[in-house]
Amino acid sequence: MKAVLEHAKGGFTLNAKAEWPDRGMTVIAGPSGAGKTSFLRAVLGLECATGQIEFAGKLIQGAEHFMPVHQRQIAWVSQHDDVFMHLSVSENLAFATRFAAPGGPVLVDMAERFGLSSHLGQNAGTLSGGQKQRLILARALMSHPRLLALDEPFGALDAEARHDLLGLLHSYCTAQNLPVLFVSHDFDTLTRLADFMLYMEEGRVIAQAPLNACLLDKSLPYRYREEACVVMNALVQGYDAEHGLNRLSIGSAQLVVPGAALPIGISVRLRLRGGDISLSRTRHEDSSVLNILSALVITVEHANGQSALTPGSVNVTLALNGGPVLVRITEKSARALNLDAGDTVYAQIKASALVSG
Amino acid sequence: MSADLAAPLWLSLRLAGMTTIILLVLCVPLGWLLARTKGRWRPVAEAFLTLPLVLPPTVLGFYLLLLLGPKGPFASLHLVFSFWGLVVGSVVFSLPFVLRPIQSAFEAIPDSLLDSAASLGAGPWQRFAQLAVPMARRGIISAAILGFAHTLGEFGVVLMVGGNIAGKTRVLSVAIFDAVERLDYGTAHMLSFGLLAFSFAVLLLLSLLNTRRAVL
Repeated sequence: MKAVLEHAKGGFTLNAKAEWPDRGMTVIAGPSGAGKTSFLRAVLGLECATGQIEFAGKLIQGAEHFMPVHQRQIAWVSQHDDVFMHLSVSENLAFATRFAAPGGPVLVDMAERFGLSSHLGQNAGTLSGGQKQRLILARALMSHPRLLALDEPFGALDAEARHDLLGLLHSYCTAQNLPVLFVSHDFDTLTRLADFMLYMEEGRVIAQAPLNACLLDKSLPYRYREEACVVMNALVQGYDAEHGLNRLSIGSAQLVVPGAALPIGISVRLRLRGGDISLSRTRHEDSSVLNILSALVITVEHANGQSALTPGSVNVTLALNGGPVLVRITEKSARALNLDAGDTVYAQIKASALVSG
Repeated sequence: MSADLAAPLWLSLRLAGMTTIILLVLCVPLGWLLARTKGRWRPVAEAFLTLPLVLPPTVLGFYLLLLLGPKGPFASLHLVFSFWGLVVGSVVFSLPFVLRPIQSAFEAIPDSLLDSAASLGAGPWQRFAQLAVPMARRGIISAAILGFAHTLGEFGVVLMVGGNIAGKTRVLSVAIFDAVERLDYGTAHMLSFGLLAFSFAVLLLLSLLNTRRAVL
């Protein structure tokens, strides 16, 4: 998708130019007040911004042409509990079906998938907060959209409920090949879900790249955060029942991750936190760390006066099986190891956080 | 019941019913328009449409008489001193009582809810007819009851526009006035108490509607 949008509203000016993939999950990130929601609303047609929007090779908004919201086939999940309180759960879902393009999902299947089957006859206003969020998401999907637009999805839910729902969302949209554009400033949510990022500041899109590139971008805050990380897709190879470990592969590299057995052959997302990786010059066979992989040092970034890096810290970027990985070590260790670009090191990956199936 | 009592009662009920129907047809779209547009003319329109709430009915009646009378621009409609003249007067007089509750019911619907519906593919008309009206139904019912009761009790406008023609324009309130003038307190009592009891019942019904949310 491509959008060039200008819009002034109450002292705030949106002046955004962006291009992102027609598939997968794209996050609009940035500090609050950056215009993320305005941008999303403009893409939906809820704000009458001037400019152009191209979607799946077609112009849905141009100089002479403004396709109204209800014709864009972009389903919106706002930050609010937008259930139709005067209708039952099944009537809420059926409302979306009324206007949907043919070949959409079946109501009972959708209700089943989102755990709403036993509430179909219940008045939507009487649902719990989590159930309402499920209903709103299911309703959006019932409209058989070409794009799903979410504004701070499930921000009001507790972490566990949010993770469950994000997982459901991810698996459905991946299976249906439904692209998602969502606003989030929650680091956990965006590293869980996003494949691509549009980073906004003061009404402008200042970076647009695949997620890892943004997580490593020196002009963005992510690589300097305490929980700085990159994400990697790994393939499930097998399960070591004796030790409760999943065997995964990233290219030719092998990793083990503790947890319940995952289905063999599926792709999972790993979040590799910079602070969970340590480096050594030699291979320590006597370490408690199970994952030891050899890698190439690409860059070494020291904290200096100008850097956003915490004093005393060093960001080392490694090439691990082709993919870049960020490692956060101390200045003292970096000096002791005498690290430089081009060196080969052993990366010891402690606990890899498994994100989504 | 004597014909003396029945005729004004029947006339009042017919007038109130007709007025309520016309006002609903007018005020549901108008209330939606006022609730959803943020144009510069909105305060002007609102002030104008609220005028009947504050003006003495005689002022309204006077201007209506000028407009509808033999020398007015609508003289050819022959509305003065007729049932339909009463209807026109009542519609104007009761308009704010019907418009206001409907408008506030529409205003209570969050923008994001209607935006969500639009993103699900519902066009402007569908959002109005299939979402907003059902959501505002309680407000619309309240408005109808209020409009009906208010029309039943009007006096000034009716007297100015319709006069006091038995069986044609002599409504309940005018009949009471008439009875008192004739010192026929018995009839005045019966009619007045009837109106009082009816009005109380209506207000009670309204407040029940607003408290017992589950009923509708």
